[in-house]
Amino acid sequence: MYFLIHQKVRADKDSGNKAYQQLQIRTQQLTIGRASDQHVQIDEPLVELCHATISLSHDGQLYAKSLTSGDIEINGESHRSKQLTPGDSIHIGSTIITIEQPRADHPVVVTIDHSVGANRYSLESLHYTTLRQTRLSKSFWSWMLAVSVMLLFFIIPVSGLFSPSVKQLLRENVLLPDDSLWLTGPLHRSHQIIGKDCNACHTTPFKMVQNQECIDCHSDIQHHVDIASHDAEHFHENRCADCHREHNEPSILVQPDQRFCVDCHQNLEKLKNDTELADVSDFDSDHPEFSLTLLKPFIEETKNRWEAVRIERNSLATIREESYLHFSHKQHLNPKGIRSPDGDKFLECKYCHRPNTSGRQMLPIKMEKHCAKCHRLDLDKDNLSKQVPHGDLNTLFDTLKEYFSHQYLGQDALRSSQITKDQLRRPNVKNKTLSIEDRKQAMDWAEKQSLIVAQDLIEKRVCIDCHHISIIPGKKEFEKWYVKPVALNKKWMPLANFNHAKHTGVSCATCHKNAKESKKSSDILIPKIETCRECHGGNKDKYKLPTDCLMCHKFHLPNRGLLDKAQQTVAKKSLASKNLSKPMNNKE
Amino acid sequence: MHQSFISYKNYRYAVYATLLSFVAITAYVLDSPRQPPNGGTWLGYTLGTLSALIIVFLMCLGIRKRSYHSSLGSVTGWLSAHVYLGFVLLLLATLHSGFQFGWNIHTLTYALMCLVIASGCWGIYTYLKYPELIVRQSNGLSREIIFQNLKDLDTRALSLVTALDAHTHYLVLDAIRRSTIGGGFWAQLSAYDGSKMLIPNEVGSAVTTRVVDNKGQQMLIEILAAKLANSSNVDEINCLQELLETTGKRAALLRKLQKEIQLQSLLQFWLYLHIPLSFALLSALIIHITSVFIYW
Repeated sequence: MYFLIHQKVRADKDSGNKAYQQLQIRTQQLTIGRASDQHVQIDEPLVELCHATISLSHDGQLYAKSLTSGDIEINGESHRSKQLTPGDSIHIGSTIITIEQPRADHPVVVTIDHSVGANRYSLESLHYTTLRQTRLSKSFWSWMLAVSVMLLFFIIPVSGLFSPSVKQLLRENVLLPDDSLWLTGPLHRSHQIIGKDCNACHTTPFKMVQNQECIDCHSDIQHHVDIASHDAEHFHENRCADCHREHNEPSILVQPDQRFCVDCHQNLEKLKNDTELADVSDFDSDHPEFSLTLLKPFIEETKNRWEAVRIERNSLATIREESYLHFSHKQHLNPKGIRSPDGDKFLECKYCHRPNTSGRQMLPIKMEKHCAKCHRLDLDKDNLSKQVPHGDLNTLFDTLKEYFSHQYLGQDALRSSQITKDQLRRPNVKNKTLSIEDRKQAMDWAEKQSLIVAQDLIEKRVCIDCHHISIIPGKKEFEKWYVKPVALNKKWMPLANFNHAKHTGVSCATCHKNAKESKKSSDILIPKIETCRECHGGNKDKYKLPTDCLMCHKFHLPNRGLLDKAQQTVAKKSLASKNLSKPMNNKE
Repeated sequence: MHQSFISYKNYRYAVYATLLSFVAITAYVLDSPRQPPNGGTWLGYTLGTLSALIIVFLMCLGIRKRSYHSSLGSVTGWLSAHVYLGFVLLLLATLHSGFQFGWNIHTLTYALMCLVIASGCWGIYTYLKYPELIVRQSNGLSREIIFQNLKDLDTRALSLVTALDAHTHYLVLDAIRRSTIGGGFWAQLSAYDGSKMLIPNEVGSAVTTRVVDNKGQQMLIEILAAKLANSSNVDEINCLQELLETTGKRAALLRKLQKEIQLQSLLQFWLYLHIPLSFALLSALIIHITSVFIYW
């Protein structure tokens, strides 16, 4: 569609004749505005870049439409849009656009009269020549950004603190900002199960996380000292979060700084006059020699018991283990080998000593598993098919009695080397029931034989090899022997965690130096601190493995009482002190 | 004698800033907190408080700049302190963070601070470079004078063209009207020449009128030159020649103005980033401090 435009070019002042330039524009929509690419450019400051349009609809009607937020003036009236008829005139700025009668070849004829033109304005005022005039605005964007940040990162997340339902909505919807935006660092992986629920620990705004929040989940955690003692009072000011610091990188659940321990333990007497613990400030330079926990036997007639006794290890020579076992490590570890039923055997430590699955403790040593292959309990050294049981003497005697009764009654008794034809006076008649006399004779014989063999086994040949045997005065026959029970120590240093599994790189003898030379089971083979210090250095050692307290020790110790209970005591005391101070306030 | 904000009072604030950096680095190296270094150790709190105070002080430059009657130090001195403390801030805040970053408001605050400092650095660069370029570009003429010269050329061109036919008269009038200087922020920053002109149809031909590009007034010059080549009237030839010369001068002056506007806008543009980002930073800083203590 063509718009035919008569554009006024000049007017002759004298004659009043106006000269028009005739333009023909092919468009459905005539654009009017200040921009240089508009069909009708009106270069005035009050005119928008794209100010208005005159468009021709499909049914041949003309419409004028304002593209600005304001109206346009058509025939002296304001309109946002209006259908145009010939004779209508539109005023934009100082320009008058008049709709003329359509011609046969042009349905739309428009006259444009720039009556005053650009001369009314200075040239500079017609152009945007500074950034200040553009849509860039410092104050707008300052407000915009500051308010957006405040809204997104504070107002919306904080609204959750006032309403649980809003909090839940924010946390569940990935697109909505919640209080996880305030995270200062990741949670440790063991706490990740808490997820987005900040208030699991942060219960009260503007208040540090309290111990009770930790105890709510970790209710079984033990104190460092006996909660019933006065020592517990030293810990009233301490927070779990002192050592267990969250939201940091690297994410460590227990801060490995040994100052947490050394603060008290480098001069414990200051806090506790009667302390038995030696001062310690560093593993390498200031740590006492390891004390050992030994089993002390109390042998009584009716029952035997062992008590764990803590012994300071000042001199190796004075400490003895009382396991009541005869055992020589030297003999067993003989590099030339030792005799066994299968020929010479070269034993190594691991044949008997194996750590359990965690590596923290050694598996118990069992006679049947570790010793019995060589130390056979043969009843008869000429008859290797029969062995006596290990453990209980009465069972042993019963076994012997059964054996000899069977021999007496059976044919094979003849073949036994211990029973001669003279000794055997039983008539060998088949299908004849034994008389009471016969049975008594058989019993006597079996008991007598058993006693002889038992004495041989216990006192000479088998038991005596490993066990301490004593004869109980005043007792006879089977009741006279007493084999002292054996107890092997399992936890030499119960307050320290040693893990054999983490030390597999070194041989046993590297630490248990005197094992190969030890002839007695009473020898202490647990290494001294010097041995550890060959590899383990102080906390900040640069050449050895830096060792802090927590590498071997724990803060929360067993059987000290629940932290939960200690916490309740603190709460009660603080409540009591508040109540005490109240009457005083009233007096004032 | 004029003293630049860089070398103000013999680099007084540069020295203060260096000393402060040295103290901060020494403290950070010597400090061995019982937890990984972060904003929550005593040194972290100290560095954080110091950084927050510095940010508030740096933002006060906007107030001091507008208080013409203030006797609280010279604006140059304030600007000098602003620049050097701004640089130290980057170090202090980094040490305050303990090099722990994440997708959270705290790192957003840090990132915004870095952006503000970066835009400030750009500002220093423009202040050191562009004023000289602007003087060179405009030959020391003020913008008003250049506009006056342009207007004189417009008047001269329009008076010349009255002697010619209405068709040519319209062409020149329309080309002058549709010449662009400056414009939106993008046009100003890129010295974009959006000049257009309406090429009318030849009477009786089928060619319709259309808006065409007139960058550097090239289209107008080509049309006038073609007309000159076809003309045989001596008066018309003289008139067209003079019109062509005037159009050429106009084109050169327009270009000069566009370039000058470009440099002026570049001189200011960094501030349109620096200021809004500063306020975003202030907002984030308030949230950073508050949120840390809400979930203490």
